[in-house]
Amino acid sequence: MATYDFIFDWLGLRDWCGARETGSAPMTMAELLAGGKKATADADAGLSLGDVWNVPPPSLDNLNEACPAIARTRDMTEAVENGFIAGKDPLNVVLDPMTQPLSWLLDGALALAEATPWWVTIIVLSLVVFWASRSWRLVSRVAAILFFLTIIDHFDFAMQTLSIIFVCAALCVLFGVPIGIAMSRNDRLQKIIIPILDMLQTLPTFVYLIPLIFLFSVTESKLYGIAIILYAIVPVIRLTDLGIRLVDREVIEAADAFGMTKRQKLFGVQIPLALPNIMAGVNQTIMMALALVVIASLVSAPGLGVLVLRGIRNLELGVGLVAGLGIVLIAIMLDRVTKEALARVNAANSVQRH
Amino acid sequence: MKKALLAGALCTMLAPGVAMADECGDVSVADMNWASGAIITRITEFLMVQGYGCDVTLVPSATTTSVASLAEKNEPDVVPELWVNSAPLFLKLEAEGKAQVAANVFSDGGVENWWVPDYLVEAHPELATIEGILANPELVGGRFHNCPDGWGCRTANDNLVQAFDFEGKGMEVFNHGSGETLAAAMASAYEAKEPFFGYQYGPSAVLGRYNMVAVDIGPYNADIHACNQTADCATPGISAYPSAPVLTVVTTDFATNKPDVYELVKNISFTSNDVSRLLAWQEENSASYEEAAVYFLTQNKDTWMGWVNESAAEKLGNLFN
Amino acid sequence: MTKEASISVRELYKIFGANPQQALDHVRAGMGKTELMDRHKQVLGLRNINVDMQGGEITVIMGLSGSGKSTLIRHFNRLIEPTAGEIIIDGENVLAYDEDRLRKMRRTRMSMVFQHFALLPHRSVLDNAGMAQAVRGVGKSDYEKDAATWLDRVGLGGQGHQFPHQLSGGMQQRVGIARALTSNAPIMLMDEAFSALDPLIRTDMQNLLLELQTELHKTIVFISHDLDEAMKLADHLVILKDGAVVQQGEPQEILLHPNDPYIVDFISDINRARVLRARSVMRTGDAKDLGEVSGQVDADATLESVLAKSGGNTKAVYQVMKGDTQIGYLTMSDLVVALVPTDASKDGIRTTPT
Repeated sequence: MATYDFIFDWLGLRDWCGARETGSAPMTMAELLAGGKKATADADAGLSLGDVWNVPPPSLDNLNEACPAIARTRDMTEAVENGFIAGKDPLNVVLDPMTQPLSWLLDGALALAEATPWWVTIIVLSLVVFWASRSWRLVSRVAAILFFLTIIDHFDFAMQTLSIIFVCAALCVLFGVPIGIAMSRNDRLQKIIIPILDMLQTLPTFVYLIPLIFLFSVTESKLYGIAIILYAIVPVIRLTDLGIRLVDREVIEAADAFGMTKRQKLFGVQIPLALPNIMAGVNQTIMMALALVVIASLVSAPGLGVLVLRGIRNLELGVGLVAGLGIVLIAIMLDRVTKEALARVNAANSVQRH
Repeated sequence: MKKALLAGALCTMLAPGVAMADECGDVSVADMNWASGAIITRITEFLMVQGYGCDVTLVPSATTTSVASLAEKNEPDVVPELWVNSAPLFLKLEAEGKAQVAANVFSDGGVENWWVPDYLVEAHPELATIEGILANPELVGGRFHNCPDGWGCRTANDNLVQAFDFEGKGMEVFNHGSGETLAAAMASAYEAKEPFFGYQYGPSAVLGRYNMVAVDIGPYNADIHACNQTADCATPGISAYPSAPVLTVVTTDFATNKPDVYELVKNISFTSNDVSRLLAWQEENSASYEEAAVYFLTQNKDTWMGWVNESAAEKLGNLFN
Repeated sequence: MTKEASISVRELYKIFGANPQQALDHVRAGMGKTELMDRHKQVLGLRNINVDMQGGEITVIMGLSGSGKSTLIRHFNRLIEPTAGEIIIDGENVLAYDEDRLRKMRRTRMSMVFQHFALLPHRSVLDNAGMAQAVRGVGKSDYEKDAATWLDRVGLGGQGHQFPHQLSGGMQQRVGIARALTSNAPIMLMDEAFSALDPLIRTDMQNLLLELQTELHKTIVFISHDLDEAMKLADHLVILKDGAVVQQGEPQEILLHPNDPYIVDFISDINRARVLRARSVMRTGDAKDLGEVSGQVDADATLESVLAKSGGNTKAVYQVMKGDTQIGYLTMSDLVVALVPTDASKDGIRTTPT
């Protein structure tokens, strides 16, 4: 006699519920300990305090005990799975070609990193840092970090991680800024997108890895590429939207009053004035992409994450820690470079607040 | 119903409790994070609680973490289904006398092999041997699915790959990041009836569910295999995998202080066939680990009755009448 | 020199809220601002505005906060769209313009100066001044000269290379004015352009504006909350309260004949000697029977200057001259009577009697 029988009897739904087929559900431990038989008689002895205190919640499983027509929770999860599997193939036909360029980019970047000799890479990276920051001090620090990584034989892994981060962060900015701009113009769009962003940021990465593993082949690099992009794109979208909305309203009025088209306003006023916020978003996006390095390695991404996982699996504390340190050094490097670039942009855009 | 349940549980626990109280007490058992390990743990827990009146704590664990815990903290008391190849640290502990082997929990050992799907072998029988595969790499998809870094099989596979000269024969090696993606790759290939060639261990849910054919790599050679398992093997050779030792491991303290329960643990053992079928049943019925354990207990009463001592057998018998 | 443009406002209404058309019916039936807010949660911005602004004149629209003056000025270039009514510029109803014509009008017929300057912080002073022309598509080499000329005219010669954040508030507003002038538009909208400046600078800027106006004869619409400023600048004065016009006309007229307790309160503190002019207080005709004439004063001379001229002689009589013709005469007794401020109205906005 199940606890919630009375509801269905009272509502007159007993016929709809149907009878329980014996042996259809796997026996639970509780049933086993109760002797494998349904207890009778005593159940109708009236409610005692213990019964009230221990009343089971009206969950699907408990309701199913009373009324077999109600699905159990595991039936629901199975239905979700089946729905997904049913939709997988048609979805794949659309998504695979769309996301194939990501695989090409990632594979290409990794191949390039592997093919370039170490000293060429260090020189090129130093030049890039100089162009972005115009600071010799920063360039020397970056070169020192790269040399250090080379000396401890982590250079190849570090370059693999850097290539992945570059490609993913670049794509995040490429897609994220326009989305942020679109959001800033349209309140309704913003209301729709913000919950999606919240979900992408808080949903455990493993949870959205599951459908990704289903949809795309595990051996394709776009699997971890998409995981990283989905997680890391959120800051740049949010901050672009914020940055544009925060542009001084009077300046926007002036732009309108003097007859600027929407395009002139966007490129001549809004984006330049939102640039500090957008750059902050880019900085955060890069940091979040780095945060995913180890999880990406769980789905076969090369780089420092592989070393960290090796350390965990083999209980080689040193290997894991040093690889982790490598990731931290790369994070510091990218953080400082983007902050210097940001400072240069800010200096050109100093706004006097009154 | 609740009353009867409470009453039933209390009775079975109190009655023997008085007699057994000073013999059992607290036992901690590792709860492995994969299906077969978790089910075995629950079967063990049930027998200990209902038959011996122990107070069992389940400790969520995995292969390396459980060995680390044994090494550092001498806990948990019992670790069922330890794949020693993936946790060579255990051998060191055994040598030091901190832990010992209680049983081969898989009586015929675990299986480690390279596999191809049955439909592939049906269409191209030559793919049942490694020579056939290397002569036609494109038929199996041109790619070998390798273990993740940190697993024992990775070292062995890497050496074997060298010995077979995969690179020269046009066979790409894909290093998976985790055991989950390795299993997922096999599963999705089989579902889509696509070519597949890679490593897998059994018993496991994926091998239980899909019909894979083990590739004939050649005979097993103990010396060559021993070298293949070390990272600096100078001359990698060709040798099949032996059946992998999968053990129930206990702390020496537990063995000394709780001899009765230790006897039980020594007896708990399954054939890999049994386990695979149990795993397949579990997946078909979307059962939880607990329900799978219950299924085993109800279907194999004679088997496990032989594991427990007399007084336990009596108490347990009461439950199943 | 562009043709002088005139602006007419006919029955203009503006209601802010969820259902402006419905609220409009209520307002037309006589509902007031507070009642509209309480009952329908909508804000009455402007009610039945009817104003005619002559070409080549300075029209000052003034009122306290919430009077609707900022809302009204933004209707002229349609930064805000009205709920009902017409705005006729040069004989055409600009509310009927489509986007392209509106943009053309904003680019060529109107310019605007803002309270907080609204300069583009990331562009130089010269680029800011030339902004209106740049928006039209004029190249930098072409607008440079114009912009430099006007910067010179407002007293910022040689500062073209500076950036806004490097200038003081007064200088930034000069750039704002230069920007409006460089556009060569006949209509200039000035939204509390001098309210954010300190008093000394404010006086300088007012004088600058008057000086430029004698030369350029633009149609200027000027918003202010400062009566002294309004009196100084206005050719035509419109006083708003709670979104409706209370009184409009020649400033001297309003000062001498206020028609509402609100206006009476407004003007009660003003320095009448400095604002009233001889022509407003004089009597027409000859002064033959009043005795000896003490001298001549200009029609536009302030009473203060006449007082100074009299040196304390309470019996003085002056001829009021416009150019070389006498148009009337002014006695000191008339002058002194005119200096008496109107009492604060008993049912006006003040709570303590002056």
